[in-house]
Amino acid sequence: MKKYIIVLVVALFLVHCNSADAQKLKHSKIIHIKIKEPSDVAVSFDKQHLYIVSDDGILCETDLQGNVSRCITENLTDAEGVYADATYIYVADESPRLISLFDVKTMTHVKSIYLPYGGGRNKGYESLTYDTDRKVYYTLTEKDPLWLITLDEDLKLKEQYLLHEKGDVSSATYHNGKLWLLCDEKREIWVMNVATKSIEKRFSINVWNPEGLAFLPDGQLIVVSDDRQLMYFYPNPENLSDAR
Amino acid sequence: MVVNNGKHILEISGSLSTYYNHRTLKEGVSEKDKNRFNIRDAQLMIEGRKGNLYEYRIQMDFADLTQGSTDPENPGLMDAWFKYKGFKWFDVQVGYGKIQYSRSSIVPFSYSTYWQRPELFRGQFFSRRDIGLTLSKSFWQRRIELIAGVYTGLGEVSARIGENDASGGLEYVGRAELSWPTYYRNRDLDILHSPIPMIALGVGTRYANKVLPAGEFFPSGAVGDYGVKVISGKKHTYGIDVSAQWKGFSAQFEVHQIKGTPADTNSFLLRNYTVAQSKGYFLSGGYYGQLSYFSRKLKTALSLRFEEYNVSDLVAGTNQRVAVAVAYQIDGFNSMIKAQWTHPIDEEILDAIDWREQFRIGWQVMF
Repeated sequence: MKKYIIVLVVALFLVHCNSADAQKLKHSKIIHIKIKEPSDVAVSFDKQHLYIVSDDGILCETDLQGNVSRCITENLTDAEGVYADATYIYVADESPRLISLFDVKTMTHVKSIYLPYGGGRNKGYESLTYDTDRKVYYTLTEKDPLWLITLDEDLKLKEQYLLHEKGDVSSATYHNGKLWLLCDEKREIWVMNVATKSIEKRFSINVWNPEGLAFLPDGQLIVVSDDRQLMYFYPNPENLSDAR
Repeated sequence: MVVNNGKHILEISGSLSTYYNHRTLKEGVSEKDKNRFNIRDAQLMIEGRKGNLYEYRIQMDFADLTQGSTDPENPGLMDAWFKYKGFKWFDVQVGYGKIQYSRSSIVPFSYSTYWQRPELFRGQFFSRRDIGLTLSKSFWQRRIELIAGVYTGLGEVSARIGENDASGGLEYVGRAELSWPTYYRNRDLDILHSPIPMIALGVGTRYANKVLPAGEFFPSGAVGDYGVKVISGKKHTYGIDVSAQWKGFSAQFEVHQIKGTPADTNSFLLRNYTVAQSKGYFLSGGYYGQLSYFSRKLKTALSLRFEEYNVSDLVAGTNQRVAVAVAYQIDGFNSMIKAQWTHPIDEEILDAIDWREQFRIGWQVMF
């Protein structure tokens, strides 16, 4: 018996050492953010602020370095996705299946839209972004299964597409014609061609429990870690040549 | 599956598992009744949340309910509690559920490579569930968690009979946990291959002073297989647990000691020793260590476990067991085939067994 156990351990170790990786991104800076369990991040329309949401039902406005200027908790339960335009901050509230709109200036609740989904309580909408080219919003279910859901400009369901990628999606942002998806469990960023629904590039990041991603005005990519309350800054990965 | 109205969210989930068990018996033993298929779990869980203030959970195992099982490792009623999160300094949980004392007991079974917990955590030395009140508070980005609770003290039997024993005594439990460098989930396997070394250290204690009036007895099943789970007298239990993980490797170690001081100096728990010899108390407890590796590529976990426990220090000998488990994930923990081999190395007279090896293989599905 001992012999078989040793062989199995060695085999597993060799598999461990030989695992294939996506292209690795190396962060240039890490900062601590004073928001409990940050679950997504978005850049404001005027490019001056960040909006960060939390699992604890909090929406905060910060500067581009994550320093908090104001927060609200009203009408939020399990905020997991955020996007902002010139008028509203849009928050995907995962458990109650709501997309809630808040006034950008006052951060007061304007309305909520119920978007039914029957999957697990913590396997609902974890992301929200807007496709400036097609004038539609995207939200994705986290996993089991992974649905890419397209909403029209009135946030009404337009279509849904079942993705067969292995892994989860904890954040999404539309940037330069591509949909950038964050996979928490694999600690990867996937770059999706929205037209073909194919993943064209994959990047790996050394971040524990990554839950949000966004691009800063200068092209830097930021990723927030939920458990660690950290924000990681990366040089623009679009400038890397050897992406697969 | 979720039903919700935008404020009240109700989730229904569950699990099913079936295994085949085979035992190699000792010389002269012919009863092979443990060579059988068994439904371990047929669980249904209703879990809810009302706004940000209330959470609740009701969980039942129909496999055990229909068998009338009071097995503390796998009871029929598993959870029936609600939690209020409206106080500033702590959350309050009221009802029947897992006692937050030992990490190994807290980790959900479905997330384990094994088909059985170590003997120390199967509810025969100390209860795993009870009815009562639990206060909890986390600090420092959930790296520190403090828990205190008071319970009926009869463990899983509390839910069955709805009454206390004749002593009317309660059990008090406390636990503190420190995780580093970040919050550590109640899981044994590092399926996400954490890129940073992570560790969680927990300390727990529990105390009960139940003195039965003359002629009274504890309800059936309350004292456990060894008679040390609930005693007439003082029982003080304390333990330490450590869990660590990094890049797919994970390890757990846990040690517990029970000091029982029976109110009756002629109690069988003092094994006919005089008070001068036993000093009026007995010690019980043990430890276990577990090493695991999860291969994402093979979707397979391999785990080795060693445990040693002693029912009473007043009786010579200890029990030692080694176990090996392999689990293959067809769809993560949602669909997993698990196999476990267990081999007792040594046994004490108080826990003599009639088998040499046990092999168990089965399939669990969560929905």
